[in-house]
Amino acid sequence: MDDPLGNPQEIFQSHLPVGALLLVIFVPSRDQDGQPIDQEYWVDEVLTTLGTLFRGATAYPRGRGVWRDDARGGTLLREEPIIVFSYVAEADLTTNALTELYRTLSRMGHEANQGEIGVVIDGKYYGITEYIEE
Amino acid sequence: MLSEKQIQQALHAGRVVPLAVVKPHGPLGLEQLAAAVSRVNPALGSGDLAVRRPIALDHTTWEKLEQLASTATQTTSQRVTASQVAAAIIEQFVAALLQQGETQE
Repeated sequence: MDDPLGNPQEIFQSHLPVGALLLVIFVPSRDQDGQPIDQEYWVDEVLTTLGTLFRGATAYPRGRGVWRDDARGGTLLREEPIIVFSYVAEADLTTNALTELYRTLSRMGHEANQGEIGVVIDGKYYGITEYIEE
Repeated sequence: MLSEKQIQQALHAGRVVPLAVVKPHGPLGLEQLAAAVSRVNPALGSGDLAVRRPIALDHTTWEKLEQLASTATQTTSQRVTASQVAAAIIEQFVAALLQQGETQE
């Protein structure tokens, strides 16, 4: 009897690396003061970076949200973050690739005036608050 | 595969928080992930409308809270912070006070 599982890579004769790690980046719509940012530009920047580093990425627009910023007198801020995700091959998740990703995220954090940039890799949230000025 | 520490260093991440949603797939999975992230970082979603205020505590109290958080982390396998323990104690105490007040009336 044939092996019911087989190797999908062999069956489909695919020579490309298989991405299994989910990497997710949240691109915000507003800055810390509630001012709209150029979200489309940053989604494009993140997509370009992920596409270059990990061969592909998808932007997934979400429903609308709202959050109350108590550090600013409890103002309600409407937030519509866009989720950008990529399935990354383990071999591609290198220090160099993450350093390159950090450059883009750091620029977004600094230029778009963000308190924290959020990245999820393999089920863990990494909060970035340290930005470099280029 | 890079370790959590190596990823944290490469991304210059100030904090790492394990999420309950480990392998989210499809739009619903991503929504679930987004809800989990919004609890960690309210600015990235609408899930958490908690009030945040800095409060002063003496060092001994804070150390005890950290010990409780460490014990909770070990027993629940989820990272629990001293602030979360403090918030839980205050919320339970205030809720009990309110209940007492209602029964006395």
